Amino acid sequence: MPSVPIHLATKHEGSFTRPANPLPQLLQTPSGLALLELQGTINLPPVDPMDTSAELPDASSQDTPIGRLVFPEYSPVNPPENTAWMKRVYLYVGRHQRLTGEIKKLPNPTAVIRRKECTQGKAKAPEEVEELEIVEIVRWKILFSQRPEPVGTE
Amino acid sequence: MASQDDPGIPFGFRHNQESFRLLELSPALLAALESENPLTITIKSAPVTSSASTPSHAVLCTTDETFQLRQVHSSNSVFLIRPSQHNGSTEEVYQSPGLCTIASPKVTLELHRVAISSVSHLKKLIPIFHAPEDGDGDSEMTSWPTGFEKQSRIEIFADVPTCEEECRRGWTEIVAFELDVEDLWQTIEYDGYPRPLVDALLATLAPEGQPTQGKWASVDKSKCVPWLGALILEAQQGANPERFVSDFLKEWTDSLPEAWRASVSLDCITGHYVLSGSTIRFNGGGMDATSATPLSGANANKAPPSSRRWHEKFRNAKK
Repeated sequence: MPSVPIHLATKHEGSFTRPANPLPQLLQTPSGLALLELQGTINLPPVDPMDTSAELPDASSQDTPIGRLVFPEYSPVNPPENTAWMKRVYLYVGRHQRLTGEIKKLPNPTAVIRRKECTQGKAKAPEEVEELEIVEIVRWKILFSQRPEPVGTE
Repeated sequence: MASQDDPGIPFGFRHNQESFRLLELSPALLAALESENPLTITIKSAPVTSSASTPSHAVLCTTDETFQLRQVHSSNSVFLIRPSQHNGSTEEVYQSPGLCTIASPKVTLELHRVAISSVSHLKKLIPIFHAPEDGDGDSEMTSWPTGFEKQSRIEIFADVPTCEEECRRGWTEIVAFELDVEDLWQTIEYDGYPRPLVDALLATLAPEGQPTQGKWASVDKSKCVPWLGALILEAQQGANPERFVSDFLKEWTDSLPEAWRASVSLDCITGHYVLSGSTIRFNGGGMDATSATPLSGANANKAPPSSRRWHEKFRNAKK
């Protein structure tokens, strides 16, 4: 088999659009990618394109809302040495469930790898040599290791 | 409750999920990747053969280290998230910058540094060059091996699941060699020599029965050493036909790859020279390499013929 080279993606990669990153500074990466891990799975309603397009005001919107992520102890004005906020993260799933988690340092920095995109649009010869690129190196993850607990809707 | 006051970050699921892999890096590998001159890393594996009973493992290679890749499945769900403006919600509270999951990698690749010898892999990929039989003194391959499709060293290394340095070490250990005719042509055309000359020379110097067309060629020591000696002698016959034997032997020796130099002897160009005292001159006879007495010796052709001396041979040939 041919050997597959892995490149470090150039820093000024234009493929990611960059909305403001709402994550705490520590979890922000140049590409915006972060890792989130939870025990169990998130069950999503089946995607029906006809149905969702009627619901969504913006046709380009392609996200299904899951819930929201809350860092209750985090404040951007706190000094970076203050790591107490890392002990508690909430993920509200839907309206009735809440996961409690924390920020964990990964035992090893983890590279996020994908197939290298062709510069010439999407046209790709089938025999083209595959290349991989490291788009980000992530050092932290948001880990939810506990079961969800019910919360009231009020 | 804090959560009641804090609306939090809207979190959604992107319909168009992308495909990513996660690869754990060692601190040393990470430092090398992030350095000024980033390291090149590749993923390699041995070619899949139907007869192989053991599965071939992919390895990750730097220039001098080999790592086995191990796929680790997690019972947890892992999501890659990134900022998103479009979280799909019509509620006003969710219009602030949000996050969405764009991929959920199922496995993480772990690296385990291994010391694999490339020798056994190389042996499967490279035909054995048989030493010439003693007796008739003629050097030829007993049979041209079949089934070895990979012809260049680069192609062979690509099929060996170890880092390049280990490939080179194994290559040296088993005394593998390659003569790439394409390389030779490039060098020769650069120097202004016509390609048919190279073809003709290879046809003259190749071991008996070996094809000379194609990407690969070898030069038979037992032909090349006497051929070159006679040629040097012939080339000098213009201005200064007489020269010291020691000078001649030195030029002859220096024109050969190191490993062949021990074979230099006046005996193998018998019939091409006339000795007078300590000087030697060409006898004026026709240059016929095949009439020169071939060398014998069990280890002829074992050594890698280096192509860098070709310049001198062709320079001589042009005179």
